[in-house]
Amino acid sequence: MSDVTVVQATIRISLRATRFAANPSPAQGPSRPSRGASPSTRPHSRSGQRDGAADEEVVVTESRRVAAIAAREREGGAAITTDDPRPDPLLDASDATLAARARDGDIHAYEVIARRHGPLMRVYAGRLLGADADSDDVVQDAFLTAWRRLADLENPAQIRNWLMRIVSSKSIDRLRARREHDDIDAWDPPARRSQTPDRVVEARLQMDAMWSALERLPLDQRRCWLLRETAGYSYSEIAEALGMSVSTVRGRIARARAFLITEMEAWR
Amino acid sequence: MTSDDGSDALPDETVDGFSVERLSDYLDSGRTPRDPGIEGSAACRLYLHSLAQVHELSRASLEDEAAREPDRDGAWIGGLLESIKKEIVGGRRIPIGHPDADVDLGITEAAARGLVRRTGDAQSGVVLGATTFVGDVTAPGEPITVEVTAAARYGEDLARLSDELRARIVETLARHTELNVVAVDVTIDDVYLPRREAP
Repeated sequence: MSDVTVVQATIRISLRATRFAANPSPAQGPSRPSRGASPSTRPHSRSGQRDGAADEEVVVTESRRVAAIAAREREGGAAITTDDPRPDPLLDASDATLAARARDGDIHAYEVIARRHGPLMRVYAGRLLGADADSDDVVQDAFLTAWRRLADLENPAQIRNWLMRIVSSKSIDRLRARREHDDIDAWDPPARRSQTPDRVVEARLQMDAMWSALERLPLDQRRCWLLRETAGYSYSEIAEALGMSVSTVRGRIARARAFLITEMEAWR
Repeated sequence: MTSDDGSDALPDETVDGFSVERLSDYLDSGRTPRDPGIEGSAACRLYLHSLAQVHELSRASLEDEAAREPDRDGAWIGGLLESIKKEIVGGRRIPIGHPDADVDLGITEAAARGLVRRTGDAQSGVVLGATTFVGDVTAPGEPITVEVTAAARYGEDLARLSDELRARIVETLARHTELNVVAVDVTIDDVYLPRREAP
């Protein structure tokens, strides 16, 4: 550990100084353990020069950086020309690495996770709810809950599936809340099944055909199907979540399956 | 599939004598253990193929749609970050000595972890993962072992990489804290491919 390199650090650290005396400190600062770094490697270690920035300041700085990088990406991934030593390394990082950092309280890592998986979660929530109107709220709420529960995440590499389940559960909560206030028929639109298969055949892409088929599934079937196929819920979990019997769930999934297979026959 | 929704009746469809329900369960189990009866039927294999396609496309079509969505992320992510910032948990308090007895200096464990992450991120070819301080960081002079996990860029010399990372962490903590770091354990637990090369 003797070959210590000088770090070009511009880090603001958190110093919560109650009754902090702003008088200049001795150049040596407080007594320091001498192992590791030689004195010449820490020219800025006078405590009087430390920024009294709080945790939040570090965080704000980081998220500004992310926003800037995201903006650059939207503009076509132009070269990063700020004083960043390199492009945000977290954009390359795996979910597992990001989740481990997020669990340590790294908001920036969590933001990268949210940007990476948020769009899918929003689309999924929109399909479950039957309308996109509430999906932003649901997804934001789900990500907040997930942040609070990160310590419970057993396998960080599986964070996407884990998020999917939380989004499912939040969406179901939303459905329940609606049910208490509204007549079900008022928000559960009748299935638009009159569309002819020709419409599907006309679709340019298989994906479009599937998307369209999912859209035309009656909401109750679609919900059961997506919870099962996308979020990996078991039949009994779906039954409990949606307040129906297991056999009803099985029936709905069977109908959804038959419908989707028929719809996709042309693409076989 | 034309029966009224909500009825408990299952469509009793069969393929070559096997109920679609059974075929679906068979597919869900990864087609193991192998069922010679099902696998011996061309019609069943075709049905399983269609079903697998529908399963795969269900999720893929959502992902496809998500990728095509206009970027509306700013709004909810902004709100999310605002909420999270209010909930930062500082962790243990790491004292920093000062000659003036009236001065009470300290740094939170979360901030110290942030220092370690940043110094790791400043190193090319590595992305830091979890950081753990083992030992009583609240007591000055206590021996502390720093445990970090990290992902290495594909092709890096892992020994050199972890040596440099260890040195950086030691240096940073010596500069900004008074932790008595006796060891830095680096575990490379992931390898990543750069999404794009730095310009």
